[in-house]
Amino acid sequence: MVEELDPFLEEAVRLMGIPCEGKSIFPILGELDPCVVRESAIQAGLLPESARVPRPEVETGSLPSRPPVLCPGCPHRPTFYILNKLKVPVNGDIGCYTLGLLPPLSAIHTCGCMGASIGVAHGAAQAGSPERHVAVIGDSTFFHSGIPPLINAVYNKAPIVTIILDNRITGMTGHQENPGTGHTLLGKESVIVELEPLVRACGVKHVTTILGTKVDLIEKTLKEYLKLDEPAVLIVVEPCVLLPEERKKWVPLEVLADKCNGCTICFRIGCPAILKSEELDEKYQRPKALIDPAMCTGCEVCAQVCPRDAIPFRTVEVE
Amino acid sequence: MRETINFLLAGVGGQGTILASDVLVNVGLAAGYQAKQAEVHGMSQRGGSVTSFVRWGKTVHSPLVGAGEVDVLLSFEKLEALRVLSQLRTGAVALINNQAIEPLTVISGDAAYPSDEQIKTAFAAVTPRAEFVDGEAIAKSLGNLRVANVVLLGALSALLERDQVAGPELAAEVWLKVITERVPAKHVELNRQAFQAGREAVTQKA
Repeated sequence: MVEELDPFLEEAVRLMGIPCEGKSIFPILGELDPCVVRESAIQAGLLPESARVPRPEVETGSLPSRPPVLCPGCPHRPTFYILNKLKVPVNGDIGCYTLGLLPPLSAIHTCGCMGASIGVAHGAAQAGSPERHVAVIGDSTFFHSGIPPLINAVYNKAPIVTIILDNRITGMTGHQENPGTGHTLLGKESVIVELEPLVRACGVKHVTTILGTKVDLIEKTLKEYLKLDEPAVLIVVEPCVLLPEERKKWVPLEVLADKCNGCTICFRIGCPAILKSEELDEKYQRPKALIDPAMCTGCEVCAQVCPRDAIPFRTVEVE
Repeated sequence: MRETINFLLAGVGGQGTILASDVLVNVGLAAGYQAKQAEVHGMSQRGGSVTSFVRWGKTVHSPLVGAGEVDVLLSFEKLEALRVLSQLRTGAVALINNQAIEPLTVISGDAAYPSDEQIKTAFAAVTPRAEFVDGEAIAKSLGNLRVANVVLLGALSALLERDQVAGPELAAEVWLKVITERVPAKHVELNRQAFQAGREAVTQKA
């Protein structure tokens, strides 16, 4: 038997007076795979040197990384696009929206554990950071562990802006219900704990709820809140685009190639449905944008940021 | 029947890598092997790199495969194939879908996608048995892009025969039975054609 990570069984077995070796041979850190186990066993003399498996000599150079990304149509995307634009320090939390830290959005600067966003932003303010700190936390994480640090920030009058990204579900772990959804984990009907009254009850005076797709409105509200000398909370609400009801509303958008000049602004929202076309803009010789109709949900964030109206909005409203 | 066959499947989240490993593990079982599967990185939903191990054998104790011990690679994307190249045994069988999906780091201009030549040279240094098949183009010619994975499974079945990785226990019918059991009745014929087209893509090259 080989034990991964801490010597839990090893110590229990030793306490029973039975001789046992474990962490003296196998590493206490990292995942054990066949190579790690074999190499450790060879070094301890449990296996002969000949047991070592040769690996091919491979020279691939450094390859472009492929980190996971916010899904096409993710309602969190506009918020991170704006945060990136405003260049403010952002303290993240645990959920799908943690992916806002990756390029090109690059809009999360600290991330600890559930509830840490508000606590760390508060701490930065208390420590005298000259910058106005932002905390970003999801709806279910806020219910789980965001309320005590928010009350603490209010109590200490920390001028931080907390953004609650309310996608009406627990996204990252696979669409579990939470106190905001109106159903228990077993699917039984339950009360809906409303965020805005809850935040007000915590003593926050500046609270607004806006729709997650409204790029300009998010920017305008955030800019106002960043000037305040008191804690403020912005609730950005828009259901997760992967929810069964939301999937029914998907309508892919298109790029009008004759209007696109390859300015790259839509590439910067980090949507995997927006690709580089093989067609180059004549004047600037830059690739034009192209939308993958199999991936696009029609959230219209790219349409909102396009300065040349090259991505038309949906012609029909699907409800 | 071989003692063990270690498969590595690689792709991009959303390509159906995990579903294909599911088919593969069931093909192994149907052929009379013990079979185990382990999804290594659970980022399938959000477009990240996805890899999965499948092991067939007379006895399979663990689903994990150590670096340098992969006998067969099935990659649904070229960059992902290159990324896992160092895990292959020298001389491993490799089937690579000729598709490039640019990651955001490439689209945003922060990194460059490797050239076809770079990919082929790197593979040639590890194994002479790397095959590139255009699953999307073949699927498109059959009228449905969604059967690209079945095209590749067909190609894989032919490769395993050609390179004598598997014996008669792995007849094409075994694969087809597992695949057609998992698709809606109206798509059985299309999947059968896709599987066959994938086999031909390999046998006609030989």
